Amino acid sequence: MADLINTACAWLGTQRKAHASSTVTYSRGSMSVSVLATKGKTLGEMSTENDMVIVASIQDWLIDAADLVLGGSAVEPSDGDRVTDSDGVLWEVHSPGDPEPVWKWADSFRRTYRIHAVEVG
Amino acid sequence: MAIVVDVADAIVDLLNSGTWDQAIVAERTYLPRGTLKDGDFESVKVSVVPRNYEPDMITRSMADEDVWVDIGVQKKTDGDVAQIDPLVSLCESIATYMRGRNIGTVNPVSCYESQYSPIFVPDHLEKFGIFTGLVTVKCRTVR
Repeated sequence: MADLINTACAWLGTQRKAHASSTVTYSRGSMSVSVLATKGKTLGEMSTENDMVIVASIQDWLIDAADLVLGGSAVEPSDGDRVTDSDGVLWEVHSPGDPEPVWKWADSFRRTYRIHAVEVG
Repeated sequence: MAIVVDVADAIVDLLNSGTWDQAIVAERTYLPRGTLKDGDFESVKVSVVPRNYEPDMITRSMADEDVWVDIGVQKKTDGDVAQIDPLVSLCESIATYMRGRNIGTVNPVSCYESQYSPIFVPDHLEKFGIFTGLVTVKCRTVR
């Protein structure tokens, strides 16, 4: 019997990409690739330590794992990678805080990365 | 002017006239705050914040006055050890430079203790790639 959930998730993924995404540049050092990405949740973030406050915006990006190819190889997102969105805003990939990693799967079938990033410029 | 303000201003002057391995601009503030997207941490940001004031009567007419001042050092990094090590050195240099130093205000003030802790704030480094180090200087004057 076909896995209906898996099939539905795959269909939803194609719809998300076709109708709810924009082209961004994903880069690591001198390597970069243009991919379709969907904006996830956005948070205003203030982090305070000894009253020293850092104000930043946090944005999740949904990107198909198959599209994230740098230097000819499929890669997983990594701390310090950068995303330049269609408005020219620059985002840097970071963990939203221990123990959350810099990325996690957005679906149960490991097709799409949910990547955490902060606005840096 | 309040002694805490005088001491903090004197520390700002000392830091800005000192010779350091990298350029710094120290600024006195009550709420050290920066916005990542505005590039506030692209160069070394040094915030001088009065922290504590403790007068202690030593005679009926004279008091020891202790003033604690925080010196926050912050900079955006890519998380590499090679970028963070010089910032740790800078904080250590500031702590060493301040210790035992007399600072010129209306009354003689001696910085009798300095402490560099935390060496860095893991949360800031992990979430934003920002190095944050904190030097606390304890100064004393007698009036």
